Amino acid sequence: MKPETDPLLDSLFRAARHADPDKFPTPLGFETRLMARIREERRNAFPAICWRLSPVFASLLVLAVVWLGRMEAVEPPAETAWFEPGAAHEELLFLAFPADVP
Amino acid sequence: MSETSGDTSADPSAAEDASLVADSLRGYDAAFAELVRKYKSRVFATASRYARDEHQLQDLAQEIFLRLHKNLGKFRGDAPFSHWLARVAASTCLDFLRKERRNRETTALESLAFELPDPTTAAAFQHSQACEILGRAMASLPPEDHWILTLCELEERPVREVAQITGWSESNVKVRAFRARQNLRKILVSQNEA
Repeated sequence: MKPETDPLLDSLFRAARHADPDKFPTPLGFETRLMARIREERRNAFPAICWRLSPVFASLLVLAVVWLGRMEAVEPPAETAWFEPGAAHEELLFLAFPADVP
Repeated sequence: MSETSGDTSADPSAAEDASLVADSLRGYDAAFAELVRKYKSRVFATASRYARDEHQLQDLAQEIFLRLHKNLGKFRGDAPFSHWLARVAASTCLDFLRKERRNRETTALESLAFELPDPTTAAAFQHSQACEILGRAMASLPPEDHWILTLCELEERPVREVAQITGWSESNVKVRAFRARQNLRKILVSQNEA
């Protein structure tokens, strides 16, 4: 793979190609540390997924609150007024009690 | 990671790898640890082309194996495991270069200055000298240029294999490698003049 020949680059690459295998020896206990990290990541997988999904949950919560608020606003207020004691409904309250009440 | 082709059905090592991968996917950590033991020297050799010190090297090698473990289910087995490992390692190294680039945005250019020996008079660069000069010059290249030069020039992979690793077309690999060499040369000359 030589798209061009350049003595400077070619000699640099040639010299750098043959890496000293002992320059970076594989550290002792590498597998042990790696497997410990994998186990730790596996343990933390569920909380991590929950945390990532938290914006979705928060959006759903906001939508639910808004929807409930709108539903309440649409409800007719007349039904509650029907049973409220007041001057206008005294005769209705009276009729609502059974006759044998002492 | 020197293999360029391989027959998974004939190679006993490939069959062993496939079995270790299957066991790892079933949740046997010992099988994955065996894969790590088998391939760690290759992974360290690859990572040492990108890492600047031993600490970075260990982090990068660990990151490669973590990504390998996470994506183990995507290994289809139609190519040798070592080829797939090379792809995972290379893409992890590119991400490492990009992250390093962001971290080193503020590095002063003076710290990259070096003196080039004349390649016509000096018979050959010493290995350590070449590594130091190339390491400094390539650190100022864009991550993709650094990556393609490492794959094509330092690891001497064939264009076809580089195309498979990078996901670029073969002609794109050639063009990018050519441009990366030009950029590297500009940096070497300008830093030498400075």
